[in-house]
Amino acid sequence: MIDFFTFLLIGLTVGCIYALIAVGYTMVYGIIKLINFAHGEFYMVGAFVGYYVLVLGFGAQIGGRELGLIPLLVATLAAGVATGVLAVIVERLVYRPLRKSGRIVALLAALGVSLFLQNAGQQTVGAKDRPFPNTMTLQRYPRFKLVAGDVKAGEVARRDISVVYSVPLEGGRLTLVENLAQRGNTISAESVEKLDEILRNAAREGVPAAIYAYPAVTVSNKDGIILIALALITLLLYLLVQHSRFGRAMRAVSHDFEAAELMGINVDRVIAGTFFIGAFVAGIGGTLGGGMYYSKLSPLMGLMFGLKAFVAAVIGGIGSIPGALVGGLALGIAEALVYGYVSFLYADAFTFGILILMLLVKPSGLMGKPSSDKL
Amino acid sequence: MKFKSFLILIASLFALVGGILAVTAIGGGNVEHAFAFWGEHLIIAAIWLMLSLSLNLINGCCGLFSLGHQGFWMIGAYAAAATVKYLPPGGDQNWLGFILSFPIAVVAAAAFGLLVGIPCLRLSGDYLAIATLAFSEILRNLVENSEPLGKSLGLSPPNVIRNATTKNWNYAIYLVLAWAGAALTMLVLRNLMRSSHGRAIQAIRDDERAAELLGVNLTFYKVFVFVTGAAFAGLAGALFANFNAFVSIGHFSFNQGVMLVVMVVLGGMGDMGGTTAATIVLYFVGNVFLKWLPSINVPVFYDPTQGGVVWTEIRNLWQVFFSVLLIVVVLVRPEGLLKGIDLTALFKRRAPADGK
Repeated sequence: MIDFFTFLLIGLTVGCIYALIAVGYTMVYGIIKLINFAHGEFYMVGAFVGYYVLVLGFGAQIGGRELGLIPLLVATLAAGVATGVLAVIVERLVYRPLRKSGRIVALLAALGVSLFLQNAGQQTVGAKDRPFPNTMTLQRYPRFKLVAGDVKAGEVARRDISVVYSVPLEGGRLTLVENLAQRGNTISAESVEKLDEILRNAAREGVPAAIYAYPAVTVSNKDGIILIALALITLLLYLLVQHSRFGRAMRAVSHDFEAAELMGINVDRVIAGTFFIGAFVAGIGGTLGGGMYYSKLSPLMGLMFGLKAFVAAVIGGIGSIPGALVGGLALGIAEALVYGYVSFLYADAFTFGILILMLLVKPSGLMGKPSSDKL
Repeated sequence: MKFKSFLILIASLFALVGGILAVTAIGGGNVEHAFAFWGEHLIIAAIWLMLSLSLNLINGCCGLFSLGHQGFWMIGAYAAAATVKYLPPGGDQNWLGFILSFPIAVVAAAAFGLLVGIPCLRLSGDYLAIATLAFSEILRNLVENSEPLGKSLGLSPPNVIRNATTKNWNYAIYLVLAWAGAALTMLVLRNLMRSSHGRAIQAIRDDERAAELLGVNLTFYKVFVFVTGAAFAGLAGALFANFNAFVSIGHFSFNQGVMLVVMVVLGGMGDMGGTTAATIVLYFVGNVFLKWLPSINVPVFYDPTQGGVVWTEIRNLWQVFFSVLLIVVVLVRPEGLLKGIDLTALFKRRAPADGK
């Protein structure tokens, strides 16, 4: 049961990242019936923009001091805006001239944009994986404070125990977490020695150090940031789509393109805005998910992840924003459970199997409207 | 592109290679080396030609936009490799395995075509594209975890012909086999498209509902197109596995599938001559001519984390150029770069201006 909740939490976080990307797929599809193949690449671009803001703007170094929340927030917003602008440019140059041509032609163009961003990325930022700058050390919550006397060698640990301490570094400090004992294992003499040494050093340097015990199921601070980000974005999207002029125009265009145009809605602007919002959210997903959470950046990172987010959009019902959120979470959790209980080897087959099943059995998805035209 | 044009193109390709070999011989160069180099490229080009022509049947002629052709290719290649490697009596000279590997690869790929074709009947357009892509990725994932198929390390069947003959004979024999395969593909697909079945297939592309109303059996023709396309991809896979004597999942990635789609699109969807020309040009530019470019470095990016200005060799920009080309062709000439171009016109006397 403990395992189950742990897998569930991992799935929830990954699902949030899927949801952040799926939102853009679904918004663009909802309004111009285009599967924007390049959307996964927007996620990649977002991650790189966040990376460069942190490295060049805040002087982050690999293995250097922790940057903290404010630089991360700035980087995330910058990534969102830059990605959004890129999407608007792509829409203007490539998708707008093709709006009246067939869906296959537009899909090909999207494939071309996706290839272009991948290849251009490999030539400019290089094909090698890059780690993301250290914005914060992974810490788990909830946790209970212990005192040094509670950790005795030879005793069986009732909970996971670790010591969290800081070391001063140039321009700031770095928080480190040292695991002392695992639940159910005997606390070794070395662990206690190590703890003593860490506490002594911390006292000498005048930096904080604390011993914590953890319950069986914990959430990390990174999970928390991603969950909060998704919750905030969901709220903002809801307000934007349901309660703003722009949102009303967007829904009108999505409902009936030509009628909306006749009613005096500036369709071009609405579509550009939709691209901006979708890519903005994907860019945030790139910095928080691909960057902070996975810490693995490469020009090809958006390919598989983008496809999986597309699967999430289909599960939720492509064209429906709440569907994309639900689909993302559902896919993340399902994948985590397969990872945990079956095998991580077959995760891709599982995800794409779901896609095919969904397309065949319920192409309108969990929350989508059944469409009148044959799929 | 007119059908005869591609015969001219292929003839000039062989003439070019023959010319290069002759010049090498006269100039006292290493003919054997040159033959091995050009022989290998001509063989692989023929395999790509079979793949792009069979994809053209599905994507171009019937309008079923598939992004999963690399999956059929993969099935054929792995089926052939496993046959040569594991069929008794086995060993380095498994002739029985070699001969049987071709029909087995074709049947295996066609069966998979059936498996993909039937569920995909309910899908069209971009959904079909995604579903076929999903099928080929599932397949790749399963092969990646299969012990007898070598997991991600791949499978190395013995090259029976190479083991029985010399290096030069190996190239010569595969040259004949591969181009015979390509010629068979062209011939069968061309005759198919000229028959009443071909017109039914084209009718499905032009307007599915109208075709259905006129009595075209959609179910039959869609599955038929998938099975036929897959069968030829399987044959290409068998040639590839036997010639290369090594297959791994890296050979059949999504990017290879995209490359095939680009060949069909640049050639003009449904235009066999155009597809042929696009395949040959793209293959030789990407794999041969590009390597002859002088190594010129150009600045492409400014990145302080990589120590300032990033330079790259101009030949490395081919992939970028290629993706821009795809976008531009789709924007400017969606019917395909080469559609309607007629090379035979070069050999005809120009008709009078009024055409009478």
